[in-house]
Amino acid sequence: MTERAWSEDIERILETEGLFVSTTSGTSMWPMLRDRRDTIIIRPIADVRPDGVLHKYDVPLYRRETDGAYVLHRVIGVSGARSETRYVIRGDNTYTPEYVRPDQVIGVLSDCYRGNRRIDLGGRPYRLYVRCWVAIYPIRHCCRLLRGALARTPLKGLYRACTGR
Amino acid sequence: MRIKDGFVLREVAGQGVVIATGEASRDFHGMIRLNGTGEMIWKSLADGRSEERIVEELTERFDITEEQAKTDVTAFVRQMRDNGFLVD
Repeated sequence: MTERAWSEDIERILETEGLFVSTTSGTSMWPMLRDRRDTIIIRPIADVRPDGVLHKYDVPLYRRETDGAYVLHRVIGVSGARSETRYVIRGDNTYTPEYVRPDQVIGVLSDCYRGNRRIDLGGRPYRLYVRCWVAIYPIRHCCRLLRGALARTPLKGLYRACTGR
Repeated sequence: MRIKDGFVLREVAGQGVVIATGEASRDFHGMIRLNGTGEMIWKSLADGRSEERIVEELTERFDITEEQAKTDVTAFVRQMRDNGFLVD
């Protein structure tokens, strides 16, 4: 009645099960994915993108080269020539781009649940969110810098009162 | 007996998958795929039904004997307990 799979080796699960279902930890994909509250469904790239190439706004799962950690962030662009292709990837709530080789990518987000509500990743509300959120990145980045600067001034008391921190 | 907080059933490609969310996800990092019978038992447990009631439901819904249903429910509940998904 049951079949068990553990996430220590997601590559193996994707190979044997054809999908990987889990929650996420951390806030780097907030507001889309909340820490340990939402559900992600990852599939092999070929199941989602038959040409094997990630598109802008896709959310791949990859292994970070520096520490081997699994990371689920969003493609915001592609750089380099064919043999030197790098996906430019950034979390929805992070401010530093990562440059990821195609062979580091393990799978791609195919479905997700926000709480108990299924999000249609091909639907208009999600597509609108993604485009707007990525488009306003410069504004978000400026706001973050301003918040940081304000927090280092005598106005930090006012800043903390406003943000509740 | 009830399902521990944080363990949720998700429908993926027509199949039930149980995963952990919230605090439960700190200790449980896997996923459990359920077949139709397993999914039904899980949902009944989530609704707070007793093992006896679930056996009745299984025999009503599927073409199986009470004995077989009891075996299935007992085995499922034992597996769930072993995985730490249930609390009394």
